[in-house]
Amino acid sequence: MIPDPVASLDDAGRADLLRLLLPIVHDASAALLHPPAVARDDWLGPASERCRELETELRGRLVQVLGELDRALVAIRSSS
Amino acid sequence: MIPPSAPPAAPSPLVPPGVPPGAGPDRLLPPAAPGTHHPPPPDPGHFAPTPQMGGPLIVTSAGSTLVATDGMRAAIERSAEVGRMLSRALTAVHRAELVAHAPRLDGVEHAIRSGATTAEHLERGLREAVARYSASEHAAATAFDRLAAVDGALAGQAIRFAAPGAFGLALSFGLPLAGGTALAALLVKLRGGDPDAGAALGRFLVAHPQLTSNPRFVAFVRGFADGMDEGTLTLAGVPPLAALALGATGRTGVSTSAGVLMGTGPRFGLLEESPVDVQRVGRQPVAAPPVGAAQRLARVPEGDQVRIERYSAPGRSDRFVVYVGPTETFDPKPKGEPWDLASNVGGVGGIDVGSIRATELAMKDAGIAPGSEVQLVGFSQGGMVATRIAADGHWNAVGLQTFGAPAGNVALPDGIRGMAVRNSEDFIPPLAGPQVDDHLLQVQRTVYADPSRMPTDQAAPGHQRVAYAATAQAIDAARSGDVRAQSDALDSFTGDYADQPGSSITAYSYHADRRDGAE
Repeated sequence: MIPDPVASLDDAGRADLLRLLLPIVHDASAALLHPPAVARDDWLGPASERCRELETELRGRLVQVLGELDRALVAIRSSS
Repeated sequence: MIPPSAPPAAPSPLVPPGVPPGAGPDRLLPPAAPGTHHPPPPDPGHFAPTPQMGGPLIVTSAGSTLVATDGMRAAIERSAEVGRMLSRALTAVHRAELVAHAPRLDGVEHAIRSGATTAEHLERGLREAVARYSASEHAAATAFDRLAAVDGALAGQAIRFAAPGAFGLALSFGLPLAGGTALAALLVKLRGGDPDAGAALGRFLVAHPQLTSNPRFVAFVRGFADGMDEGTLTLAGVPPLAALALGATGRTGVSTSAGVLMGTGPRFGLLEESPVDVQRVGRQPVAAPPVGAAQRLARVPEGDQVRIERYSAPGRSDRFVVYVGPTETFDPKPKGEPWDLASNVGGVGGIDVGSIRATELAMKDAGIAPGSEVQLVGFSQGGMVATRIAADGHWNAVGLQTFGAPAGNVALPDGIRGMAVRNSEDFIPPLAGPQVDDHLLQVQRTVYADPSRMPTDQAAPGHQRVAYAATAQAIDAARSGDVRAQSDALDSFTGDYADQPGSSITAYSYHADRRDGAE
């Protein structure tokens, strides 16, 4: 059985990890709230369509970052 | 008779160039006594478009040929910012993994790396889109310029055979510029319901402002101005192909044509220069500096043509903002008003016309020394005056903001902060010919994205102050770094002083008149 890595941390280690991860959560949340808005009327041709696709993909990636961070934070807290 | 070896007589420094001999010098009159000056009533105003009715801001940064909307630029900056943020996040994850007994954060790290890659692709895609947008704009403009040059060359030759002599010369030199400004004169005159100005064509154009405000018409005016130099050359007898080659060198252009028009106009009683009298007619304290383009435009005067604000702070040299008003009359026969058609045409031609000289006299009276830091703001002809003064090495111009100015042919020195603003429907700025200066941020915007919403009770809706007020509001809401940086620089020029303890702001109003028999 693989031991829970977070559970192996002492209290100081968990506190350090929380302190380092929380700002990342904050930044990722901020990026989601203010995504690089590609205005609909700004674009011409296929280049704009590709950029809109990338913008949508980026939002998805940021959601993934938040999800992974959330899992890590839950693991840290639940082991405390 | 002056012998050939004798040096030419130096012109009097007091008599401005272009002013008939004996007309006398420009004069700065004693300030008007309080309560004795009654400024003209303000313009009744017009339907005001909202910023939401217009299109995006189209921006060309100083020193760049890239044309992109404000939204495009903001999106590039934002995607780059997200990329940097994710890079910082990755660094933080690595630091977290260095904590004693810390677990591997593989899931987090993978997600961040994927996000950073996508952000990089997005930024690259946006930059490519901007490059393609600029290339297509540039290609279209170049093709149009070439077509205009050929058209101008052929038109000049046709006029040469159809109307020889001095009249044909004047016609060819000044046709585009005079045509455009006369059209503006007609439209503005008819706007006021002048019963004497009854040209059916003029009434038709006023009743159908979509025609003169159509971007195609604006492009037509620009093409007309572009082709003037070739037309001038072929009229003088240069073969069309040679004229095209000479025109391509850039040594001729709208300035030359306007200068010739100013030289020939007085023979027909038109466009005559004259000395100006300038008088300070008002002085009052100001509570706060302007913030943003809309507030700066709102301070541009009318009636009394120049407003100067002096910013004083303890221990610092005074700073000044000079606001220059728009054309007051388009009458080609000067009648006391320096902000007239003669100043429009001559100003485009690089001549020190009455409105420029009057503004400089006001600047001297307000205490602006050659080394004083000055910011200039102007609308329409006022923008041309402001640009000409900013380009003149005599003054220490550090900031410039113009709205609808026929001044694209004025080359500015490097380092001036600010922007030149023009509406896509406005045919006045193109009268100065192709854009020459690339040291000042250029901002263009369509005021009426839906042409059916264009008001039908205004002449030249795209050139109205209310139209520029809407564009100024859009500029104040801009998100891209280039536009924000220039706006912030203009704001801080005055805001930095106003924030100082013990600072003060004083506004001076000036009225100028031509001394040409209209008194």
